[in-house]
Amino acid sequence: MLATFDTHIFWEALSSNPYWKGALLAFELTVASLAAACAIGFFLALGRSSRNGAIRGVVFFYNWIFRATPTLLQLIFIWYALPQLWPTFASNWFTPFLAAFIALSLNEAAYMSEIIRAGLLAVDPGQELAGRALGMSRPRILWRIVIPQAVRIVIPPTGNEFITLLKLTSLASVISLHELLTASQERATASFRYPEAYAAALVYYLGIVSILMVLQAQLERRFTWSSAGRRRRRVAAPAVPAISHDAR
Amino acid sequence: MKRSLGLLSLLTLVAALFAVVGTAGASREIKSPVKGSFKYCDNPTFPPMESKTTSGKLVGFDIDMANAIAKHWKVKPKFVFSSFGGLLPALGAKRCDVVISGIFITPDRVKQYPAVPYMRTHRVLIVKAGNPKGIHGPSDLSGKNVAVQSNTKYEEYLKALNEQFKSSGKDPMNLQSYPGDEDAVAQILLGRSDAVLTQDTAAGSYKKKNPGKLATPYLFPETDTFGIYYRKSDKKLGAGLKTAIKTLKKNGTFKRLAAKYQLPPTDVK
Repeated sequence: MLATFDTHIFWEALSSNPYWKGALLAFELTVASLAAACAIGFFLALGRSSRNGAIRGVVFFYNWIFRATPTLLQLIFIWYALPQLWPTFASNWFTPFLAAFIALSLNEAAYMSEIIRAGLLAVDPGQELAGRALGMSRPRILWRIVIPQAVRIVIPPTGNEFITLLKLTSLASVISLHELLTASQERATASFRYPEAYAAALVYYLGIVSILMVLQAQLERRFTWSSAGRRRRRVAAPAVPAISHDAR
Repeated sequence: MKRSLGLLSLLTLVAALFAVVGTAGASREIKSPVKGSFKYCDNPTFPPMESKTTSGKLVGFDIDMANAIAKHWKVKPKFVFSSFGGLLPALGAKRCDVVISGIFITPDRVKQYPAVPYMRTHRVLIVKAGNPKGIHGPSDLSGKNVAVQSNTKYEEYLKALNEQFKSSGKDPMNLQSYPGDEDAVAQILLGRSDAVLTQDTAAGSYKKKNPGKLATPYLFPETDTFGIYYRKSDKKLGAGLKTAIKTLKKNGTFKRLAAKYQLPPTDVK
C-alpha cells in the first residue's frame, strides 16, 4: 500500500512550471549535444580510417582522452578550471548551458565516432568500387552510397546514446544548470515530499525517452530498404498490393 | 635521579587517572539515548562549522561538538556524509540519528523534524576584496551575478528577492546555485560571480583561507539559529540532546570550541 503517496502533490509537481522548464532544458541540451557529437564524430570516424598516420593519431588521442575520463570530471574541468586558465571563461557569455553543451558534445563525439566508424565499415567495400566504376567522386560516393547505408546501422546505437546523454544532463546540476533534476530536488526540499517530487521527475525522463523511441522507430523504417524489411512490412500491412513495391 | 623522576611522574599520572575515573564514576548518571554509536549526518562544505582539510580530515565546530556529545554519552561518534539538500531526507530514512550541519532552525523544517538550538549567527554578503561592484546591501544585488548553495535558506531568500526585483521593474540577479557553499564562494574567486550569500561563520573562515581576496560588506540584522535535528519519534534523544548541549555550555566546552574556531563567544551562550 502506498499510504503516504499523495497523488495531488504528485500532479502538482508534474504540472509545475519548473519541471516543465527543467525537462525542456534537459531535452534541448541532449538534442544539441547529440547533433554536435554526430557532426564531430563523423569527421573523427573518417579521420580514424585516414591514410595519414598523424590524423589517425589525433583521433586516437581524442577518443582516449574523452572516453577514459569521467563525464562529471570533464564538466567540472570546463566550469572550474578553464576560468583559471583563461579569465574570459568567467564572463557572462560562458553560461552553464554552454559549458554543459561543450562538455557533453565533446564527450559524446568520442563515442559517436566509434559508432559511425562501425557503420561506415559495415558497408560492403564493393559498394564503393561500384561507385568508382560509375565515375563518381569520393565525396559523392560517401554522400550518395556509403552514408545512406551506414545510417541504418548507426540509428539503433545512436538511440542508446541519446538516452544516455539525456540522463547525463542531470550531472550539469553541479555547475548550476537549472535542469530537471535540480527542479525536482528543489521541490523535494521545499515541500519535504520526496516520493512525489522525484516520481514526477521520473515521469518526465520516461516521457522524453518514450518520444525518442517512437521517433527512432520511424527513422528506422524510413531508412530500411532491404528486402527483409519489405517482407516484414508486407505482413504487417497486407492491404498494400505487392505490385507497388516491384513497380518502384 | 632521572629515573626516579620518571617513576614519580608515572605515579602521579596513575593517581590522577584514578581521580578522574573516580569523579567520572561519581557523576555517572548519564544514560546514552543512542545505542552503540552516535550517527550524525553532515555536509562538510561549510567552514568553520564543518569542512574537510586538504588531506580529507573532517574539522569544524559541528564535528567537535558531535564528538563532545558522543563522549558525554560514552558512545562512538559516526560521521555520515550527505549533500545539504539530502540531510533531512537521510534523517527521515534513518541513515543517522541526528543532523548536525550548520543548518538553521526554520518553521517549515521544524514542522517535519524537531530541533535543538545551539548557536546564533548572522547572514552576510561576501564579495571580492575592494568591493569592485559596490555592493552594500541586498538591494545592490540587482543585475549582479550571485552564487549560492542550492536547497538552502539563502537560495530561498535570494529567489524571493529576485521576484521583488522583477516586480519592482529592477534588473533581476543572475542567480547560480551550487551543491556546496564553498563551490559558490569559488565563483567569486574565479571572477564569475559578484556576490555570495552565506553565514558570518563561514565568511570568516573563507577570508582567513584566502587572505586579501574577499570582503564582507553587509551583515544582515536578523539572527539565525543553528540546530540539531532529530526524528519526531525519538523523544528520548531530543531530551538527551537538550541536556547534553546544556552541559557542554556549562562546562566550558562550547566556549573553548568557539575560541578554537574564532567565533564570537556570545554566539554559543
